[in-house]
Amino acid sequence: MFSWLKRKSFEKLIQVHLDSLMQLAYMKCENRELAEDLVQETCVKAYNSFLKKHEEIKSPKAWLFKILINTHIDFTRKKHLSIVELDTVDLEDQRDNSNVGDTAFFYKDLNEALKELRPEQRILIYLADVDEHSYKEISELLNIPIGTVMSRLYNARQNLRKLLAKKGYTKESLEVSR
Amino acid sequence: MDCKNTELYIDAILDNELSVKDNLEVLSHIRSCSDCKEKWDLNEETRAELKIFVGSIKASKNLQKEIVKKNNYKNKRFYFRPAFISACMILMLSIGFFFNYTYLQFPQLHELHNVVDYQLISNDIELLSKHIGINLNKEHLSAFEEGMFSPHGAVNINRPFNKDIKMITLKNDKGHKISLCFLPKGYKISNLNKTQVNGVTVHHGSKDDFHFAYWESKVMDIALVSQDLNPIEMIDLAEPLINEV
Ligand SMILES: [Zn+2]
Repeated sequence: MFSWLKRKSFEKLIQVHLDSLMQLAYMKCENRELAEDLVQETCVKAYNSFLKKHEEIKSPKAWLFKILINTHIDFTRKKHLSIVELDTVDLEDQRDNSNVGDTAFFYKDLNEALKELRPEQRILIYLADVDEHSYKEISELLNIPIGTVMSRLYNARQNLRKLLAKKGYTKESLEVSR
Repeated sequence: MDCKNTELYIDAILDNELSVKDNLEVLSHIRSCSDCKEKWDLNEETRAELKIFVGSIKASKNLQKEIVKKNNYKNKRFYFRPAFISACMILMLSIGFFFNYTYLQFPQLHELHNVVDYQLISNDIELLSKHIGINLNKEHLSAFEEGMFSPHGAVNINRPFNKDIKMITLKNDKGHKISLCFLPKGYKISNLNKTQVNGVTVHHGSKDDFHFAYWESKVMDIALVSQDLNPIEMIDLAEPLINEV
């Protein structure tokens, strides 16, 4: 019953979470084009599973993230994507009129620092710092104990801070760049 | 609290993972120690920048179109099945036949109440409201929140019925479910009782296994449907909404 309603609502669900999916995919795939492919494949899988679902989806975003993470595993096997590099993100978008040069340079360096992290570390940083998931949610999403989430997250952040410090970013320069 | 411990706790505070008591202890150390204050500021700034940078990565407009296309393509193959074609012909004939006296039937509120589970797009009330085009905020649902109800699904229907129904379904930890329906003006369920709430006439009563309540608001009619809560319980929950939306 109401299968048209289900399809519409799936489209809506994707519309609401598409940017987050894209961000997670970018952190996974290290380049925009591959990230878009991954998101597309994720959505096809999600749609098929959504059609069969009769029980409620408790947290739709986490559900989609989980499908993306699993899809990425097959995806990497299929396409041997392990050594692709992070894109140069279009810095036009992030440019702030008042501090054009500084901001653009900072984001370029931040992107490079992210590139130097291991993909698992980028994912943790994305989930905790950007998408603001709790340790418990991350632990469920990645299937690792909470203690492991905390220690890996600590290492990931330390690495990122060290990489940024190497590029000369301290508290003051971060404030200037904003 | 010493500097070494504080460093470990800074991230946990920013992650919202510390108890209020621990929070206060760490924050009071940070206020009195310039080294730790600097670490705190740096962590906070890095996080803020990361959010802006990664948050600025957006899906291209094409991507969503591609996704819809891909999923539609899967459905299209279905159209070639002979059984489906015959079914379509029968359906068209039946619609033609019945059209004059039974216009496409409008889904009943209690039917929608039962399928809206599948329509969950987010647990965030403001996000849900935005997507179905209703001006709702957390205060409107404050009594629901006190009753441990949280948004559970939402749906916005305008075709093929040529009317607008917007519905948000809420559920609590006991599994009790209630739907809030926003309807075009002129909604009626016959043979219900009336009560005055916040100067508004609320119609309420039960039919079959379902309980209903509805009232007229400024631009639309608002109805409540539930199988788990009686009309009075529903009106109590919706009270902050009545005369507000
Ligand atoms: Zn200190």
